[in-house]
Amino acid sequence: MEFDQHKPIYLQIADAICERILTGTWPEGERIPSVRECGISLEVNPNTVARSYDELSTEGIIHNKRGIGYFVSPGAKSVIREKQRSSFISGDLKEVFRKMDILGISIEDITSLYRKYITKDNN
Amino acid sequence: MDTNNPVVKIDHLKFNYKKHIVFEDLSLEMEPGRIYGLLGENGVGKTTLLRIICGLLRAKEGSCTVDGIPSEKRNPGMLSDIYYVPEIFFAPAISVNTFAKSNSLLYPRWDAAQFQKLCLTFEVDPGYRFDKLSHGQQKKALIAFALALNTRILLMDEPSNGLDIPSKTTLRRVISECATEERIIAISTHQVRDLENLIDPVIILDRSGLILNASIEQISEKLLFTMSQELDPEAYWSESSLSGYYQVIPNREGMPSRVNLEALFNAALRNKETFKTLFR
Amino acid sequence: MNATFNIRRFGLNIYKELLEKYKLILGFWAVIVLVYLMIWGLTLLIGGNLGTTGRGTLVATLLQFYCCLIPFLLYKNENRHVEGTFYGITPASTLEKTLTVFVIATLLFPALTSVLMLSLDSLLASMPTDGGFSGHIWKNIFTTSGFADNLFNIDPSPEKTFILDRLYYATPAIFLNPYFGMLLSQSALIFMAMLFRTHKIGKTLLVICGVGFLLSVGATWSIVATVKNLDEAVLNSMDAEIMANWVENFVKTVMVFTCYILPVVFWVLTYFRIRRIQY
Repeated sequence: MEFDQHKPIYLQIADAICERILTGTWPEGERIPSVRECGISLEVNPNTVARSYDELSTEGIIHNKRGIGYFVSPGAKSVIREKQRSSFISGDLKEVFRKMDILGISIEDITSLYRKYITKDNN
Repeated sequence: MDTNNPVVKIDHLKFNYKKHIVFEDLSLEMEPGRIYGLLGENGVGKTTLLRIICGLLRAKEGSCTVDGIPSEKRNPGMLSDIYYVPEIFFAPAISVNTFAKSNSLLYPRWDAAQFQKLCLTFEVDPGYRFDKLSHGQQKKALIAFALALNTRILLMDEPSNGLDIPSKTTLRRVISECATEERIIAISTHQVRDLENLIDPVIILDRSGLILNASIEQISEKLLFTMSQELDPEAYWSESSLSGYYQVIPNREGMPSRVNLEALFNAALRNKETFKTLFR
Repeated sequence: MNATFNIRRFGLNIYKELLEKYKLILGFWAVIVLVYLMIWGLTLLIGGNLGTTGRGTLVATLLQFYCCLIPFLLYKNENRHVEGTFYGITPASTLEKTLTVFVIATLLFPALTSVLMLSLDSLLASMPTDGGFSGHIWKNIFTTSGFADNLFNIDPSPEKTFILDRLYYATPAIFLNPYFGMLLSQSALIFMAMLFRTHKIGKTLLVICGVGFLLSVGATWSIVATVKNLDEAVLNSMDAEIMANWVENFVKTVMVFTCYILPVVFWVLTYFRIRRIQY
């Protein structure tokens, strides 16, 4: 896996796991690869993967069944969506607003562009 | 045994080769379940340190103990739980299989099947004469052997040197696979990119001793690796590029960022004293 | 597990070293066989016939030479910075490593090589050739009569109760055989092989020459000094018997030295050398 230069590795791994859960590659209730297996396939320190799994566990996205491994928690998808929504609003959207300010794009321009996008998509 | 107890303990170590002083006063500890990355410029004593830990060299002053036993004693029990992969070694004129058979006899956790599997992964034919293999193949054979010994302490001196790109990928995979809770792996390297994402904690050495011995988590708590338009006046290190400055600055707001080993290394070398106090 | 000596670990360490070195030993044996075949071939060419006495001395000398050489062949790399690291981290105690050298270089190799050479000699002696070798020499090699016995009529007189005499007569007869006696002084060569990192044989020869030179200078000097102090009368009455006595005592001193002091000193030195090698 290619890692981004800026974000910590353990967060990038957590993101990748969320992505797989959202797309349904790893359905809710299913077992996911162990820390070790994940570390090997990503060529990273197993402790880093363990940190990602810990993070996801505290967020309630995955859970650990002692002696068996990690499983995707029921309702994980909605937790992830909620998490990504707030991250979008506090992160990406802020950046969009900043660019709008610099380039002089008004919210009305955005609304009309968004309407166009929606109708195109429905067709 | 309490696994949190440091297994390798170096205390006020002093070492010199005749007039060339390598360590004046080095203290450091290593604990199980970690992959230590030993960084430092050429000649700061990365190899010397690894050789002192496994008893090949004796400290002039101070001590180096493994599980409380001074490593200079070359205690057979201690030695059977430690293996050292030198950067340059002399491959004997015997087959890799014979080498593995004879050299593994005194290691209680040797796993012959694992060795064969690792050779397969590394694409090394252990039936070949060790000395007839190419440099890279020799190195891979020795690393496969070292990993299959399952010693609790594994020291590797520049393991990625001389390996081709696919082999470096394999190397990262097998090291990750073999890093267990009870194992200490210490890898010295000057090619930090080869083992990035694998080494944690990082140990940076210089001529005066230790600059830092900290986990990636501790480093990212204290330092911010960031790309920005303006140069931070307090930047420890920076590099300008088309999109701005890539810099290492104090992490004032506790922002998470990815630790870039090369940038960290450069920053540490420019701010030795600051880093020493920062990571004490 | 005992950190100083463990019989299982010791056995495994011997097995380990044999696994690594047996091909080298086999190669050396091939050379030894070839050399002996060449000697036999030469005798055939010249048309001579080598009897048991001559061959006994020849084989014993060759064996001594091979046993002197083997430490340098088998322990060429063990103390070197790069080549020796595998030896340095081998999880056996220093005592076990030292004893392994003893077992391989001083017991196994000489024993097996003697059997090899004597068998080869017997085989060649039984060849239906006109010239060549005749008679078997097994007895000649293993005979325990020392060379001092042939020189003098050794007869322990009651007044000779010095420590030297006692030690000499207490020496196991087997060590008075020149070949077995040599194995005791081989310890010095093993020490040199472990001491010098490069040009082991050359440096050892230099040391031997140096020590030999110093000893002869010392001997000459002491003889000159003694003679100077002696009375004219004593010098005049000096006869063959006194000289023979001197030489005999000298030979005994050398034998006692080689049998008792030298091997112990050098094996202890080898032990400490292996213990302290820095890689």
